[in-house]
Amino acid sequence: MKKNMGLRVRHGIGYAVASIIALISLFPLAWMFLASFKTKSEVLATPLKLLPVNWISTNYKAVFLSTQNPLLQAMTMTLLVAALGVVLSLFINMMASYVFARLEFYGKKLLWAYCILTMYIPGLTILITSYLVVYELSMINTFWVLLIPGLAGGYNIFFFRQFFLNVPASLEDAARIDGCGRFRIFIKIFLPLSTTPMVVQGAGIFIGYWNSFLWPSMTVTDKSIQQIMPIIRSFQTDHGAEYGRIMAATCVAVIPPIVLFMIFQKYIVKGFVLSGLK
Amino acid sequence: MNMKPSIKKLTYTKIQRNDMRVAYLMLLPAVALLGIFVVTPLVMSVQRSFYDWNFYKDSVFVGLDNFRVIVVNKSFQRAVVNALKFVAILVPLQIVVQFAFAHLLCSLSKRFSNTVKTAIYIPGIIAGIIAGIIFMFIFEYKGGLVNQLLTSLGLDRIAFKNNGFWAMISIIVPSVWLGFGGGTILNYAGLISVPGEYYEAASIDGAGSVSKLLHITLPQMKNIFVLQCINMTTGTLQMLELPMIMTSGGPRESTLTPMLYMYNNFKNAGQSMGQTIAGALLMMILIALLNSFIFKVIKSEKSIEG
Repeated sequence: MKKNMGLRVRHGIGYAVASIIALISLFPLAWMFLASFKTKSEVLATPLKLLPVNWISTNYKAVFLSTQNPLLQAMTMTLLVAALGVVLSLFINMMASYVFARLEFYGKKLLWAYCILTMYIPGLTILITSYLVVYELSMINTFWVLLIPGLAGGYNIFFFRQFFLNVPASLEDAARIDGCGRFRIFIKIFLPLSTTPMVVQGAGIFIGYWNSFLWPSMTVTDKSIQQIMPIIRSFQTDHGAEYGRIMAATCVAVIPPIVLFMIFQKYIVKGFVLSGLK
Repeated sequence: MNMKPSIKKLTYTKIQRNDMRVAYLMLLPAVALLGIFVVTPLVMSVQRSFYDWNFYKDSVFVGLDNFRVIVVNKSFQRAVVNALKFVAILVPLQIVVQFAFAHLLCSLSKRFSNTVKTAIYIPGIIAGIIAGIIFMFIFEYKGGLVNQLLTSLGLDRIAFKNNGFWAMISIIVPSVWLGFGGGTILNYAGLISVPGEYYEAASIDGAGSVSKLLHITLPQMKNIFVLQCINMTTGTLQMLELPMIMTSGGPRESTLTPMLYMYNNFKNAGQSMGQTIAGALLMMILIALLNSFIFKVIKSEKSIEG
């Protein structure tokens, strides 16, 4: 009986600690959200106030009306790049994965090694020469430089190959007998079977595009196509200590990934684990 | 099976040949893109590291001079040492914290732990730029949250940007915050996949919870730890956004990272790009060496335990 009590107390403490840590984890985001409604004098005022005295919207107005850093335009542009990026990247990488999982051809091992080894090249090592490559291709300051260089990825090829290896051969054989070509089989059988991994990897690809800062800030100076993170950074440097405004900008910029996460939450958490355990 | 073998063979190879053509066509986009945007830059990095050049002047072949100069460059040296410090702190710290919290979650009800997992995962999808800005606000000298709390407790304010130690802390905190949820979930998945019979058998043998942790849980988690160590090391050595926003690499380059060093050189077009690239290649070697070291250490432990 006594032992039971002790166990219950310990369990109670466990729940309390876990709840507190979850709240601490979310706190910076809540703090950002609250600050975005505070006035300039209130946001860094002593003594500290948790909630805004008057919830103001001027910070958001300033963000949306900024012509120096067109936030809404940047968001639209980034959404476009990220959405296209997800579709094209999934298609290109999954096609390669299918080939590696299902077909036999000369040089298969070599090409597989080639695709996989690219995963181990650190971004930092090819940072400046990647710029030189897109410069030579006249892609600087274009929409394409934001989209194309990140499309193919060794990790995605690896991930989907693992998945395709587990698709039963009988499904494919039946289609072969009906005279289906390999590409049709890929489109008609393998793509529809992969919705879960597609959501998982697709969300990751989307967030990768959405959060990218370094590459767009190196290759694009034209603010009409600039991506959201460089715009946020430039908004922040322009506004110094006006944290209300800056927090309003960051609040807007975190909405798409958070909404996406909420919609696909179950898949993403599960899939994150799957991809990690392999 | 009365078919003539020759016909059978012929049709087989025809299909096979056709398959091969399709295979190459379907591989083409991925292979070409990787070739243009990954392999070509790597080859160019190697080639360009032997030349003295920047965006304004022509290339001159200088052999290994760039490497000789960059290894004695004070800023680059500091950046590498700082990055190694960050690795030495962040990798063990994050692994312990994430493992401990995952362990705690395992003892709680499934519904509750699922809610907690969702909550802690959200920071993981926040951009480095935004995390940097939020924590810059929290660590603000005069009116920031941390300093307000300190002064209300009668303590001195901390000038996070002016002190090398606190500057490092101001980068470590958001790094841990960003990685916490994902890492915990990964650890949690590893923990619940340890077969329950192992623990039962150990209980019968009279093993305590510490001994179970040491002899069952930790060895079973080895693969996850390897994966985490390698990912964290590789990521930490290439940190950019957080130091850029929180400290700009200061004070006195005490939080300058190799990536920030290179980014600054890139933005400052008069800098020698040959030397910068030589440094980048050295970083690649360092990353490879550290990762193979991690792999070896953790693997050899496994073999000791048999």
